[in-house]
Amino acid sequence: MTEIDDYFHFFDCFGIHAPDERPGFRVLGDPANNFFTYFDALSRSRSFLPPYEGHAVTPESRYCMLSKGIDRCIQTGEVVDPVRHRQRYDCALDLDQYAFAAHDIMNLRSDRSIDPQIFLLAFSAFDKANMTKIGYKLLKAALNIDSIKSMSGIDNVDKYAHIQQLYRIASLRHVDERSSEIKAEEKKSDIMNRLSPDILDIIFSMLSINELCSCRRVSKLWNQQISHGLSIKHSIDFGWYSWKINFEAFRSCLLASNGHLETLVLTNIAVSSYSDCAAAVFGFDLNEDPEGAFEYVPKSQRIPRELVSSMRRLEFDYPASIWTHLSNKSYLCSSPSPAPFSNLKHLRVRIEDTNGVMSVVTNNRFPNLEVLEMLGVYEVLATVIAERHLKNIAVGSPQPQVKVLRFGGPMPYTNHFPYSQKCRSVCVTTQDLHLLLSAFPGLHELSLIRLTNIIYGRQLPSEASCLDLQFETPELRKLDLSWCELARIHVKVPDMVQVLKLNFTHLGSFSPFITPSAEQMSQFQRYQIVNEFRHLWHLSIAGNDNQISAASIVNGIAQYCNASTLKELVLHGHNRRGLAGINYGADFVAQSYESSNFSFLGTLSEVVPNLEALAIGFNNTLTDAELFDVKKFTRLTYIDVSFTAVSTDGVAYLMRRRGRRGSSQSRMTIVVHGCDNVHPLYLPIPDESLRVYDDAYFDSELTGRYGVSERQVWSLEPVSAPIAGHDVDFIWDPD
Amino acid sequence: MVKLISSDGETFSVEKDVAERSILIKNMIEDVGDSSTEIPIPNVTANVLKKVLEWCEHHKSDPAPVSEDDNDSRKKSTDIDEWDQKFMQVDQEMLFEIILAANYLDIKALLEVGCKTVANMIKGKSPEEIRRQFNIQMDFTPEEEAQIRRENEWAEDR
Repeated sequence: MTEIDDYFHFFDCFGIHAPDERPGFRVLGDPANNFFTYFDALSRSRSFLPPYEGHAVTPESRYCMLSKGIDRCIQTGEVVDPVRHRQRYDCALDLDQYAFAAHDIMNLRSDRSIDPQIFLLAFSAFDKANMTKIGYKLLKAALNIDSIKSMSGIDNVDKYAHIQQLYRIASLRHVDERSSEIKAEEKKSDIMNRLSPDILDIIFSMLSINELCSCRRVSKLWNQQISHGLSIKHSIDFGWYSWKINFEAFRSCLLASNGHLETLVLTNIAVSSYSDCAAAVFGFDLNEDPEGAFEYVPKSQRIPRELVSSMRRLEFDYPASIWTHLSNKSYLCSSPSPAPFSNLKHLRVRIEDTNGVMSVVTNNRFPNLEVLEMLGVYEVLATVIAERHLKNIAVGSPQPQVKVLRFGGPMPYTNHFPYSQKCRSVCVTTQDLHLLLSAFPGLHELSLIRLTNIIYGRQLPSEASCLDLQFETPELRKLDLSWCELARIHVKVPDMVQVLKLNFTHLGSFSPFITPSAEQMSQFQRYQIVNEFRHLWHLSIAGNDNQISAASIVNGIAQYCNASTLKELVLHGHNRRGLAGINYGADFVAQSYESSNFSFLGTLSEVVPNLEALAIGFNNTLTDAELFDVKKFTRLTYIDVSFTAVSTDGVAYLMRRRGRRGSSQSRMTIVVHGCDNVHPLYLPIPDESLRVYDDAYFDSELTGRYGVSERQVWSLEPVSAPIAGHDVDFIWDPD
Repeated sequence: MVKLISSDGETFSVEKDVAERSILIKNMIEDVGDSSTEIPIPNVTANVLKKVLEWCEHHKSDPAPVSEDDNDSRKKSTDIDEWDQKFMQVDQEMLFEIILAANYLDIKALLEVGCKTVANMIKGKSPEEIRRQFNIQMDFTPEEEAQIRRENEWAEDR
């Protein structure tokens, strides 16, 4: 045996067997401290005691003794005196020894009372140790000590970052040395076991709550992971069930979400359970239900409030009467604990009673609400005339945190914004709207859906004929009135608006987009309407009635928009098949842009040469010939000519112009839904570039991006996603 | 060009913007300050690294991913791009190696595609089918299993 092996043997015997029985040692206490005591004795005597008397005390043997002592402490869970770490650090001779010293110090994480200074030692040790393979491995192990980050008494964030940086540098030099046996063993074992909890969390977070219920039964590990996975966010949508949900199923489902409920779509509930479910979600005290509208649910069957407190999105499809009950004084004055909706950011209510909803919302029930969608259905509203619908609306405190308001449109069928199809229409007055908007002064987006007859106020005061959004919503970035009809009222739009969606029926309400008559001019002056759209990024004007010419729109763009800012322009006409879905309140059918005249495209290309997306579909008079002017838009990456007379040749022409001099972009998306003369099989495009969309809706922002605000609080649904590696994306609807 | 060395010693030369799809490699290049330095990838073997680099090459011009907070909706969606679907048509061993490599190399989009692929393998399957799919041992006692089954009864198809 070498001398050092001899020492190890000696120390092992000393540590494992009863020390006081060995000759020469009369040291009491636990085995680990024996090592330390012996180390102290050696330090004093400079020579070994019997039976190894005469051996020289080397620095290495001192390091070994301290290491043995520290190891013993770690094994038995005893607290190591930080002084011993300091001593071992001082005894370390090579880089590996520094690494071991550092790693053991890091492993003291569980002892929060330890002197923070000892950790500084570890960082010093790692600084020295990262050059070696062992140092690299131990650095890697240290990175896995999560609680290092949460230690107090030391600037751990910086220190942790320091370790990470050391590790990155170390990994440049060293490779992982997992033995081939270990790797082979890993391959044999359960493949999912090899994934870290973080990765399992990601996978489980992609499954519905029903699928997770199945997964819970797979194994103990999965059950545990699903129960405690922090990033699993449950989205419960009862609309997917083929049977009506009763309260018991609802309750079980919420219990299964285990406090990780993120989205709740409360629909498809059995009639007999409506009120119980609503009471459970809103914490409605059934004892304070004076009219007895809510069924009695025993206390033991109720749902803990904590289960809904994590909710970020609630879609609530209930009869309006429930909102009436919720807006009663006793509910609004109660202060439930914990606050059930402190995390709620998105609330959508359908079949609503606007007054009831507004009472609840403006009584600060949703302190972090960002998106509010209030959407009725015609069954309710058809029985109520417009003025009664919003009349006497109760507005409590303003809610400046609300950034998006989508209001109006009955929408019994479609489930996604813009809720455009199969809606009936609602009439409101400008007075009502002003009152409504006064509750939301911080709006970034306002969409009025299917308000087909926004009319003057009830008593026709002169002010009522102007919808002053500059005053009510000064921070507005997106205004969508494309599904509304403004009955000769005028609109003041905040200067900061970046996305504006209109239709031809109310262009007269916006000063820039028409050549005003003398009467209109006097109206504009009367209401001091000066609309300038210097920040406009997306402009959409749907339809044309042949009275407002495209040329005057182009003129308006030239005068009041900023050519360098405007990137997307939608000038869809109205389709001969009526598939554009634009069917305005008065039920008249819009015509195409100026019949067969698309000469405005040439002028447009001079006015906004930087345009990146252009939509001129839904015109049966648009042919290949008119596409000639499109080449003048040198930055165009998206063009929509759906439902037009454009042919295969026209599309081929658009494709060929890519790559020519002046075409600064390398990729183009061409949308040709419903073009009977386009046969994609005759086009020289790779299969990967052909994308078939059946359900794309046409009035979304074209490229699916916003430059609107720092926080994008609304959902983005791009019509197309570019495919890398090909010059042309070609979107075609085979039907 | 950047030179990457797999754990089994094979060298791959790739364009810098392809390699920098990996945040780990990007940080390493920044730390070293010299993109000509050979970068060892200790946890990834050559055949896996080759696949990962193939993905990075195809997605090199993808826009930067949006922040976590804005991206909640995509988490629930398991739709996978057509190219990625074909890319992920590999044996289970390779699929999991790709996921582990994406995690190690910090390529969030690839990790997401891999996880979506696994999630799609789980969807619509009974617990027994899932066990068979991933070779998982059933370790519940009959009582434990019955208890979990009772708790989740509401979710079973009718």
